Amino acid sequence: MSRIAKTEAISLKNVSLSGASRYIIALTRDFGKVTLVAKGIKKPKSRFGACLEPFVLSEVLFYHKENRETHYISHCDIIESFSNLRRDLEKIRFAAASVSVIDKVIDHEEKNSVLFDLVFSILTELNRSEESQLFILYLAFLTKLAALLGFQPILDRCLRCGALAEERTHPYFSIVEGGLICSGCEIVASKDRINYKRITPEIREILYQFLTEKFYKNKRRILTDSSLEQLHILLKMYLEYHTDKRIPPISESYLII
Amino acid sequence: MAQNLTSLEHLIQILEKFPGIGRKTAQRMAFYILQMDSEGIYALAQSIKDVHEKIVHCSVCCNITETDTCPICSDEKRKSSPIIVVEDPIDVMALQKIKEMKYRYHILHGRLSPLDGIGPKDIRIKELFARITENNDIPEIILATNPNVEGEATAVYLHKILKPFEIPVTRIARGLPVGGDLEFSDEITLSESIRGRRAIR
Ligand SMILES: [Zn+2]
Ligand SMILES: [Zn+2]
Repeated sequence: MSRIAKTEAISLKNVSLSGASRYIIALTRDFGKVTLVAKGIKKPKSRFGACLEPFVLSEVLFYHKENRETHYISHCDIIESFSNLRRDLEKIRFAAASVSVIDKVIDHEEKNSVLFDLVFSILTELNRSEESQLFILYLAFLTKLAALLGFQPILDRCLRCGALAEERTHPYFSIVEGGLICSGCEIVASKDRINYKRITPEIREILYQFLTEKFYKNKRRILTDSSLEQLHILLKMYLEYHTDKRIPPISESYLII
Repeated sequence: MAQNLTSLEHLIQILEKFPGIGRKTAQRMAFYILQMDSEGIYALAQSIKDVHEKIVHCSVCCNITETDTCPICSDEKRKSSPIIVVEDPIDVMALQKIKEMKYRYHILHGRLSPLDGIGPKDIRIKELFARITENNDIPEIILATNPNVEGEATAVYLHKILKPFEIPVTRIARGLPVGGDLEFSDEITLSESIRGRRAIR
């Protein structure tokens, strides 16, 4: 059975097929991640035009076939093109990193409109923000993604004794249990370097902000490059452990020759 | 395969790796090869061996060629003509349709792709750099990478790094295809065609 379906879609990735066609891996609002086939899209006069370029939000019509892995697109229209993401080499890096994570960790055809909104938000933020904010926005996106997938870390108290963040310092973060270990309980943590990672109050604070604030508020805070990098490594390990998928690296900056 | 047909299975597995070829088509091709006569088989095998052994990359433009330097680079009429930078050799074949003017080419053998982790070191940018450094007969560089995210990123990058040479660097026009219609064009294509507008000559 095939029926025509209409939904919003954000193209995550294009895969060239023989001839003028392409596969489009897209995140859709109503069907989750899907693989769509766009016939003839590489021809200059293709009716798809630029609608299915990566990072573009479109409304697509496609023939949805149950139990099929790919579906043919019949029509699409651009809703938001996020044009800066195509013109700025730094923005492309972080937009690519964000959609690649989604492509990696999300299974096919599981509807999740909150996730769709998250991807829309990160692209919106990357599109309109200054270069110095891009990395931190990406880190906020990873944190929000972890929470959305069901691994929201506990950041206000110790996982062992429940000591609150205000009462005591919490120098460790447990990758496996997803939360903090306080200075009173740290003897356990100091023995297991793989599960427990050192975390600074500054990083704890920013993680907390990521979970409780919107993107536009996160933007105001600036961390040092080394704190950003530490946080990136921590989030990567955390997501990889819980999703059991490899988080793709951010591509190198093209601006450094 | 149930029977003991290892060599046939091996052939199918090789054919299956071709772009756009699935298992079924690979099987059909393998069975066709199986019933070919010896002459046909040797001609096929020889031609595959030939492309492998005879085709090299031109040391000037990186295009595929049987003679180094390639016929385009050694063409006297193209001396001092603009260089068109493209992603793949197949793009040169497409551009050769233009008859009104002679150009030279540079083939990158790929495009920058933040989505696939392909960076400047993975494509033939170093060679383009060397060519521009060593020659002072280049009046213009035309960036003709594809007008999609990756081709665009490649063009933006090349434009940046070629600036110090003080040679005009231009980008092929993007926008409406000849014979197309405004009514049926999308927002990105329309905006590109307005941004890339030019005076009527
Ligand atoms: Zn404790
Ligand atoms: Zn050549």
